[in-house]
Amino acid sequence: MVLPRARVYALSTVFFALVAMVGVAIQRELTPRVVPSPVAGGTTGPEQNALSAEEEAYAAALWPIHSEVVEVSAVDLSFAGVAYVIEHHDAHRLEAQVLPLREIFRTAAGKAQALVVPASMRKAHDWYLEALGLYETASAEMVKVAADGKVEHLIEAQSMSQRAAEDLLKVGDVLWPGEYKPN
Amino acid sequence: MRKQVRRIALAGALATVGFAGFAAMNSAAAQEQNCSVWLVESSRFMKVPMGSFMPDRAFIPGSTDWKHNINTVDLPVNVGVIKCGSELILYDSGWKQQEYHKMTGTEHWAPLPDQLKALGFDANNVTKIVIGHGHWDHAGQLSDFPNGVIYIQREELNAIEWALNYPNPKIAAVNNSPGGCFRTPACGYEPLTVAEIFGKVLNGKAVIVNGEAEILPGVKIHPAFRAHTAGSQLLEVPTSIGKLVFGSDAYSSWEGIRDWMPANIQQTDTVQQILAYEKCYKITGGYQNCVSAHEPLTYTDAYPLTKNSWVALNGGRMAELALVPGEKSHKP
Repeated sequence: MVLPRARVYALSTVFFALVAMVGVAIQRELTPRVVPSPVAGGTTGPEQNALSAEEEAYAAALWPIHSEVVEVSAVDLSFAGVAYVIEHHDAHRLEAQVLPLREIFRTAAGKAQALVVPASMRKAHDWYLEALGLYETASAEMVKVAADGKVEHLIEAQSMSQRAAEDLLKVGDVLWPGEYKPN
Repeated sequence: MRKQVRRIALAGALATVGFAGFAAMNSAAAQEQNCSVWLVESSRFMKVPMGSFMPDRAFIPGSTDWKHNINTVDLPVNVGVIKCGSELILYDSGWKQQEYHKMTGTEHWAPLPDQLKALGFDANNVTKIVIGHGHWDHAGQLSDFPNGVIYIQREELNAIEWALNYPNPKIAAVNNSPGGCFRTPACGYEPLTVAEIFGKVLNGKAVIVNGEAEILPGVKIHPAFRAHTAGSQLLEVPTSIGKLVFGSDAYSSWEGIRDWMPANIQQTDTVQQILAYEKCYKITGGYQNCVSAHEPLTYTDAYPLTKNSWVALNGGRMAELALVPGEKSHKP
């Protein structure tokens, strides 16, 4: 049977259109769907250089001093001042809280000074010792409130504590960069 | 004559009604003002595993389920900038440990004072800083706003004190692992943050809040205790697009609020977090006006409240959420 030309063309068009649709459908099914990231990604930052074995050993030795003693005592020191101002206003209670902290910072400095420090970590180590010195001096300053009740001692101590805390951060960023995951 | 009297009486009555209405409007305006609101991206944590951000949306390789097909997300650290009349308020204050930014894949940080300047504000004009919670990445940079009075819950300070005095060193106020805070009862109150809070207290620039507080007409603090930390607090702000509620990390994820899923469960009681979500629904009538601290969709059309956005300093983003009538846009 011979079909009219127009009908042939029409059927051919429909046929090829169907083939094309099936082809597109197959391609979509086979192509893995990429879910766009919710945030247009920024560039990644520079890779941190891995610490050497000596540097790792130094960081590991300093970590217990830092996290279990110095950081906690630093927060204790500032908080003692906060509690004095907003709660009890008892200078002798403040003194009783702060005196042991001064000794803690002094002892921590002694332990830190005894560590084996790689040459590459000397600068970080100096920052750390500077921070401990500032904290010890800040503690001594706060104790003076018990003698004369002057808030100026607290202001001076707070300024030193803030500088010391910034030093700790500089060291932490070198030795323990993951310390500050999102909170 | 009678007609004239009636006319005079009617005119007088209308004038009285008009005057009373005008006075009432002014009074209402004084009672509750609208505020203009912007959002500023203080920085962005890059490539955070989705499962650590939202446990119910942990990544499953090969999954086509929308809840499990995202491996990592980039989390903005959003700071609210709120202008109510002559008052300039920050909700949260970001963080500024610059060395960390360089080394750990955190991107797009800029000092908050510089970001405010780009928005047309002066850091010295910040009058109030409401701390959503006292973690180091939300209560940083306080000393860069010398005139800003911080508002922090007593419950938050109590929790810091509790952790400081806890006899077991595994429960500590500070980050107790080189890998950062895990899900412990306390963590994240770092020496610099607490030192800056001490500075504000010493300078008479701190208000210790006990629960609810109205810091300006219509601008209200709501406690959200244990929705992230012990002393978390929300901030309700009246605007031309309805009330907004800022939530800091109690509202870490806007999708979480939408889908009633917990997020960023650091020291969180997830029951309290869900109840904090509910507060936003009750205050605003839905979830659209809840302002999230870390929502990955922030500054995109997918988070409509924040879609009027642009890229600013160092690739960080900003968004204009609402304007008081008469306030010109601060969008460049």
